[in-house]
Order: sequence, then structure tokens, then C-alpha cells
Amino acid sequence: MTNTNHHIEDSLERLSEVTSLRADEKAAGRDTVLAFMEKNPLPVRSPYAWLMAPGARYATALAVLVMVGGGGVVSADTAKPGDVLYGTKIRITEPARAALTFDPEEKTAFAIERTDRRLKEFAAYASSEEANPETTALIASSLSESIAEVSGDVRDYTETGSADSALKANADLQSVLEAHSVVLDTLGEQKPETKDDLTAIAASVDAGIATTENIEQEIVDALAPALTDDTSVAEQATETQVSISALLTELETQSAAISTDDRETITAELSEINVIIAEAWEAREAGDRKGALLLYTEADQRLSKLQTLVEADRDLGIGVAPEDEEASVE
Amino acid sequence: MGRISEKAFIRAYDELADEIFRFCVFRIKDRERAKDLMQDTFMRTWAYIAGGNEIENLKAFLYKTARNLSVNEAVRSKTLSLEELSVSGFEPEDTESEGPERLAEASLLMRYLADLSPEDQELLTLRYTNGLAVKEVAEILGLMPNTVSVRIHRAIQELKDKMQPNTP
Repeated sequence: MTNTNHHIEDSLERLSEVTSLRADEKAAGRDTVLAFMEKNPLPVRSPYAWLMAPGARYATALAVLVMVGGGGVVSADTAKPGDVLYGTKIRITEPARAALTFDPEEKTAFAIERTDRRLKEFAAYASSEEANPETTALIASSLSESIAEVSGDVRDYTETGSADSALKANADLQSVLEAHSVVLDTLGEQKPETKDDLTAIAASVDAGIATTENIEQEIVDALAPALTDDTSVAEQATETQVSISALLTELETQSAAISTDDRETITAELSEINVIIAEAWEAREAGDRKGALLLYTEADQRLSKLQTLVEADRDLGIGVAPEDEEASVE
Repeated sequence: MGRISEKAFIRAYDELADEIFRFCVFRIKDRERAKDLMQDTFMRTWAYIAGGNEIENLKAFLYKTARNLSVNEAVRSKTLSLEELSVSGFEPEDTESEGPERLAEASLLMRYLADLSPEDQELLTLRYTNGLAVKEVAEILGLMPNTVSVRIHRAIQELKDKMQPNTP
């Protein structure tokens, strides 16, 4: 038996000799990668980087407020990619706002919201005009920062006995990233000329998804001791209810604009979510807090993902499940 | 590893392009798409680095990126039957050094391999065809090394059963 196993192992090893790139294919790939690297060089450290150091951000924001009398910063808040004040919004007003938020969970929620906002801004920008590499780099960098902030918070929560908070933050971030991953893929198919810019953003999104998946099991393992009462389950059940209401309102508002295919996809996804909610309710009734919390979180995560896709369809007209229904919505 | 220079990155391409390509071929069973995914893997990873991010283990990061891209691609594409595999380019490459018998053996093995679950195919490709250590496979898949060893053993057994259905 062992000999046969060795024979199979040897044969598998030898497959590498017959499934390789030809020299011309490898060289062509190398040229493509090199061209991409030239177009996307490594960042040069700004001489003003010290202004962005964590401790200096709040002071910088105050200084800017004084300099421009507030008006500039207020308008920066609504700036879109390509606007003159967009950089100010990303580098100064948002970090200043985060610095003024003291509750840890609110801070995490703000970072998730920022991740979502950045990806929505980029999708709208890339679909309406030719993206500028500098703006794309600015968005990619802000995106990586906010994802890293949430991931750091999730790790902290897990290690300090607040696995329920970790579970929620991780699931919220994951649903945002997964939904936008679908949106980016669709945009890439519809606007191949934006591929390079999409690639830069998709890299951050993929890395973020991988991070959320890697820590998932650790959170689940740490969950039971954190659930000393029903509070977390009750809160998550309420949040799931809120997510359903928000989604139904959105669907009602744009009912006429949703295609038949998308309607079927949404209906199928909602019925699966209903099953999960029913299972969560049963688990809660049976006193299985961990099971109930995981199920409510999964339902809420899928609702949030669907909501993001429906909103993207509304704003960009890309469909909820443009290429493959199963791939787009779980 | 930290900040990665252009030179180090292109050296990584020279060393790992074949491995990453092979990993993608076995995952999505389409030679042409696998070439695109291999390039996308390197470009996305570079974009991540150029975005100011640091990477601890470049090889593992490349594999993880290739894995994410291949999973998305596999979900989007339809599942191919064994007969369709050769049409899509999931066949051994006819190199000068390989005789027809060796190619036929390789072709048969690839078909049996394609009959395993995607997870088992992935494990065997990483461990044997790409020659990664169990520890490296574990890091890429986010599993414990012991778990990887056990799963590899089971996958080999399953492959053996498929290849020799009448052997006790």
C-alpha cells in the first residue's frame, strides 16, 4: 500500500513537468507585470507625512479649521473623488472625526462605514470617468488603512474577551468587502479600460476578505465564554430586523427598476435568509446562545451584502447578479 | 519581510510564476484563464504593495491571492465534465522531453485528480506538484499543519481508490 502511495506521490510531483508555462508565455507575463509596476510605482514618502502621524492628525485638523474658517472643511466632507477637496476629506476631516469618537465600538463602526463609503465612491468614480492613478492610489491607501483599523480592532476584541463585538465587526466588514468585490468584478467586465485602477482597489479588498476569513474561527472559538447573558443575541436579532426593514424599503423604492433575473435572485436569497433567521430563533429558544448569535450574524451579513448590491445597482445600473447569480449573492 | 522592492518582486515573478500558474490551472482547469489569473495575481499583489502595505511572506501572499481569484473564477465558470477538460486546455503540455507514454499517464492522473473535491485537489497540487512543505501549505490555507497532513493522507488514499477501484 505504501509503495502505491509513493508511486502516486511521485506521479503527482512529475505533473509539474507537464503543466508549466512555455518560455514565451512566461516572458509575456513578465512584460505585462513590469508594465503594470511602472504604471503603479512604489509610494514616495511625503515630506509632510508627519502631519498625518496618529498623534498629529487632530491638531492638524484643528489648524486647518482655523486657517480656512471651517467652510473649506465642511465642503470637504461631501467631496467626491476628483474634487479638489477630496484629499482633505480623506486625510484630515475623516481622521479628525474618528479622533473625536471615544467609544471603541463606535470607532470600529466608523472605520467600517469609511471602508464602505470609499468603495462606493470609487465605484461611482470609475464608472463615470477615466480614473486618475493618483486618486485611485489615494482611495486604495485610505481603504487599506480603514480595513487594517477594523482588523486590528477585531483582534483586540477577540483577545480581550469581547468576542461578540469581534464577531459583529468582522461580519460587517466581510459583508461590505464581499459585496464590493462583486461590484468591482462587474465594473471590470463592463469597463475593461479601468482594469488597472480596479486591480489596485481589488487587491486591498481581497486582502481584507482573507483577513476576515482567517480570524473567523478564532472568534467563534472565543465566543462561548463571552456570552454570559442574552444581551448580545437580542441586539443582533434587533439589528437583523432593522436590516430586513432597510432592505425591504430599498426594494420597494426601486421595485420598477429591478430586472426579472435580479428579482428572482433576490427572492431566492431572501428565502434562504428567512430559513437562517428561523433557525436562529429556534436556537435562541433552546438556550443555544452561541448558535443563535452565529445564525443571526450570518443572516444580517447576507442582508447587508444584498443591500449593498441593490444600492450599487441603483447607483450604477450594474444589476444585482450580473454574471452569475450564485457567485454574486452567496 | 516588510517593504518589497521592484527588484525583489520581479525576482519573485521569475521564481514563482510557474508555480502560481500551475496552482491556477489545477483549480480552474482552463490553461488560458490560468495564465490571466497568474498575471492578475502578481498585479494585484503589486498594487497592494504600491498602496503602501507591507507583506510578511510574499510567497504565501501570492498563493492566497491566486486562491481567492481562482475560487471566484471557479464559481463563475460552469463545472466541466471529464470529456470537456481537454477541450479547455487541462491537459499535459507536449514538451520535447516527455514521451507519449509519460504524457498519457500524466493525462490520466490529471483526470483522476479532477474527480477529487476542489479542496483535495488543492492540497495535492500544493504539496506534491508544486512541492511546498506542509507548513507552507498550512499557512496558505489557514489550517494547522497537523490537519493538512491528515487531509493529504486521506486525499492520497481517495485518489488511490479511484485509480485502482478493484484493489482491496
